[in-house]
Amino acid sequence: MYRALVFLLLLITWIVLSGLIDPFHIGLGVISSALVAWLSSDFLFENRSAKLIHRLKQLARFPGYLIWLLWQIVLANIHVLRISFSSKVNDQIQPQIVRFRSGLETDFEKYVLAQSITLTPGTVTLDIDKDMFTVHAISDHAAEGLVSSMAQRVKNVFAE
Amino acid sequence: MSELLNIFSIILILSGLVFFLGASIGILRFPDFYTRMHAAGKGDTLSTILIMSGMAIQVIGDFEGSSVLVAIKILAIAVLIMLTSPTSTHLLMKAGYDDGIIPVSKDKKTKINDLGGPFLKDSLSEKSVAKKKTATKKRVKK
Amino acid sequence: MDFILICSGIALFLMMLPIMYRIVVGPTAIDRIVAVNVIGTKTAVLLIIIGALFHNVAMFVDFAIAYAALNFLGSLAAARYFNRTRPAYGQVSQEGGDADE
Repeated sequence: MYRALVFLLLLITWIVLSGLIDPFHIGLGVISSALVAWLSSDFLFENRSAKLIHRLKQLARFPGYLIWLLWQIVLANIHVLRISFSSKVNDQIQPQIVRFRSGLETDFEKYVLAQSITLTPGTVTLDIDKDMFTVHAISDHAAEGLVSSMAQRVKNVFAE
Repeated sequence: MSELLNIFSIILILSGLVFFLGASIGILRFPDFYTRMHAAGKGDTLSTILIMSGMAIQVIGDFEGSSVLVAIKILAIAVLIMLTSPTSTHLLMKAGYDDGIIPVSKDKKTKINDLGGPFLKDSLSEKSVAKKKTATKKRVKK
Repeated sequence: MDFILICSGIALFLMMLPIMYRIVVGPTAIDRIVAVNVIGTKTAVLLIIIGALFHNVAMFVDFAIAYAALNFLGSLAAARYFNRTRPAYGQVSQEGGDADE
């Protein structure tokens, strides 16, 4: 079932990138994406035992998180903009390293959290060691806002 | 309607340019490697997304027909950059961290902030303690 | 409309110059890789703008996709290389060598 899903994703990517809708090119796309799906379909979707309805629920909750994330990215950029145009840069920033435990389990959740941390206000992921996130924060304000909300939101998206 | 879309796309492109200006000034002015990485990773991603969306709206508005596919491709580039740019930022930053570059701070000393968070209050894991030790050792030797 | 596109292309190019400075001067090697990465991303954007100026976006968008993907792979490979083999600053410090064990 998951193999068919990977095949469909690859085929859609092929059609969008090639842009030619005639039998010959579609046939080439079907052959090559079938080959890739047969060889390497186990790279995507780590946990194969999850039910399809569960996946769909996660998928339905994801866009809301994405919109919130985009808004956070805009805020982060305004923050960086203000710092880089201020006359004294060194007074505006308090660089520091923050460590915390996230409480997330699967690799994909950790990946989403790490990407979000890197994209949002003044924080970049340095290292993930099992469950321990090491984060470099650019100011005290960014470090405070980090722990409370974001990991909980990711957890809510991927909850049962 | 077409005028409105046109103005909207111009606004998107111009705001992307402003954010990219912030990123490039930040890369020029920030004091150390880690903070420069902040400017590069964030400003780059958002400005690319904004300019790409503006160009996609332009392409849809300009000529009809098969231009929808081109617009989808442009948006696909934006998504690709949004997925890959944080990954490369993180990996480069990790490379610097493992090499033992010391982050600057006001009192010339790295401030390490152990927030246990609301999730688990626990001591540091073995690996991070070792890393902290090597970092301090390197600083002493310099 | 062409006027705005030309202006934004020139502005993008001018804003690459501070980043060029960081490539030339940058104290650590990783600084330079980051700067090259940012310029590569912006080159993909610039390719789209050039395509819109020539009224031939359908051709240039493929170049931009390939450029963005190759840029990501290149910075990834460079980061792996510098992580494994050599210190960030130019000279090798022999004292720090035992720290990896």
